Amino acid sequence: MSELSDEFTDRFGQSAYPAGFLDRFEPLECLGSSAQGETLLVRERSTGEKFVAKCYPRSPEREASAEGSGLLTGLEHPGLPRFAGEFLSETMRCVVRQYREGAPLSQFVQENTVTTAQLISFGAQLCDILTYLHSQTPPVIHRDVKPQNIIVGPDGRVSLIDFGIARSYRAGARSDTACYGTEAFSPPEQYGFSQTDCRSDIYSLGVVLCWVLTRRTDPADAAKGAENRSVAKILRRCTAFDPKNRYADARAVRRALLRARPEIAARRRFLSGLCAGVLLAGLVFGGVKLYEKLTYSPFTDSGYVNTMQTDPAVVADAVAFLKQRHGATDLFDNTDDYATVGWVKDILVDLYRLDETYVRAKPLDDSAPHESDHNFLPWAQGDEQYMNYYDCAYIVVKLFWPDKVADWSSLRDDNGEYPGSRVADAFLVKNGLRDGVVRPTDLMKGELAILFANTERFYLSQR
Amino acid sequence: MESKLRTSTLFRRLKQSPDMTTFLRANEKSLSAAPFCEHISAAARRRGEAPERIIARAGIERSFGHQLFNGTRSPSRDKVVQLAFGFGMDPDEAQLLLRAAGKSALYPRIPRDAAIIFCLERRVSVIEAQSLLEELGMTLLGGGGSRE
Repeated sequence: MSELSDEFTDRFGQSAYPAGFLDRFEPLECLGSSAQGETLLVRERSTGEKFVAKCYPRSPEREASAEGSGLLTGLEHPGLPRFAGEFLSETMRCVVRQYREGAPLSQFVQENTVTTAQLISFGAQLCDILTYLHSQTPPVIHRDVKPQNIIVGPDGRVSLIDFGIARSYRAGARSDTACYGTEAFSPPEQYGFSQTDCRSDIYSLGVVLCWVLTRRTDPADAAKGAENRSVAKILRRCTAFDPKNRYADARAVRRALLRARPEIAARRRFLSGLCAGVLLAGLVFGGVKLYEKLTYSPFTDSGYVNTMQTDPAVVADAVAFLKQRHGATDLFDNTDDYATVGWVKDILVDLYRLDETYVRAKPLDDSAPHESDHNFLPWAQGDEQYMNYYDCAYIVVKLFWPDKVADWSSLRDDNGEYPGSRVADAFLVKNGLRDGVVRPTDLMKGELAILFANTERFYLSQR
Repeated sequence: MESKLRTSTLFRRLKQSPDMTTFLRANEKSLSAAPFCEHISAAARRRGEAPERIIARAGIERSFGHQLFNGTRSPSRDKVVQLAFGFGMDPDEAQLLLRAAGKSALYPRIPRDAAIIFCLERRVSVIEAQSLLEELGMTLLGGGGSRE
């Protein structure tokens, strides 16, 4: 040993730290000291790995704290420095935890501009850590959540350090016996108003996030300074004076923060806009439909009406339509009269300008109805006979779509009606032009006017 | 320049400020300490010594030492302690130097810091200090410490 070494050993040979602690670790630096104890950066002699040691003078009060009672030794969370050992001497307790690389949040915000997205990320990570602590049995309350105790790693991961004044929540205890914590970041109840619980850490978290945003720790001021209104609202709720008005747990704060992420907020704004648009469109559409229903009148728009009826208004509308299309006529002067075959032939000739000889000709062979270029009607009826529906259906369809009544390929059997009438009827049914008909015979002129008008409107809409 | 206000100006502003927070916020730039490189360059000038000699006595690699003096690198705590040896500082001056660098002070309850203080008090060279640390089984200067 050199002279220098001898002299040093004589003067400084004694150390207050527990022997086992010094055997395993070499203290390198004092990161902080107060009456409550020291925080040392230490190096593990065997591995060279760095750790942080909290060394306290032993006192009954300290032994009662969560750190003192050994409650924290089993904590395992990526956001908490891992417990590495505890060493005792008669006068001192040293608790060693993993060293977290990075800068305290207090320093990080001086050197970096923190974006809202980053703020929310920090907040959400801290919520994860607090959720873990608060879910312990009994819950562990940190009680000193402040920027100096939050380490931001090079990868942006956040760690919560310093359990110096953490305690476990004791059900039934009325208030905390000792006042600890850092004034600006501590909730009112930490000054003895009531016992601190999980919501005390939520208060401190709120103030920390306020401070990051605005560098102010007065929650009222700070929340006003937040540009993102959702974030401001969350911070106000975190820092409510009465714990009852705060979020019930850190998980709820996390959820709220994640919902306030700028991209989520933008997406929500977009979706709300979209929903409002769809709702508005629905209301307008519904309104229009309702208006149409309330103001419905026969033969407006494409509204085909029940064919077989004699409602004077509907008949008048149909007649007006036919006159408007084909010019003035006296054929509809007595719409309450029975319609005869001759009357229908007059309509075909006078109104629809079909060839008179073709319309009035009877089939050459009248033993069975049949299609022919010689005669429009396949039946050899007398002009005085009354019209029945099936014949009318044949006539109105053949008038506009001559080929349809000749196409009988879809019919499987003959049920007594002329096949051309049956395909014409099927066509009218399919297009809603026959509503109201239950095989009527002896039709009125008015009813036929409706059938002609219905069919012609449909024909026009199809062109 | 706002960042180089005279001390008398700051005094006047402090008297006129309604409260401390307003004053601190308004004069933030003027109140921040000069960069560490300016601090050590000024200290070298006051002592009439070239940085070259101080770097050599501090046992710091030459180009790294110059980077410390021109501000392109920031020193670790151990490097600041080595510079204190290079300047031939006593423990009080060394503490001021550490503070100027934003590093934690030498803490006599820590055996290694105590040994460093002991060596600074004795004004021994950095090589002798390193020998003592080695004899005591402690981490040599430059071999450990917190954030660079």
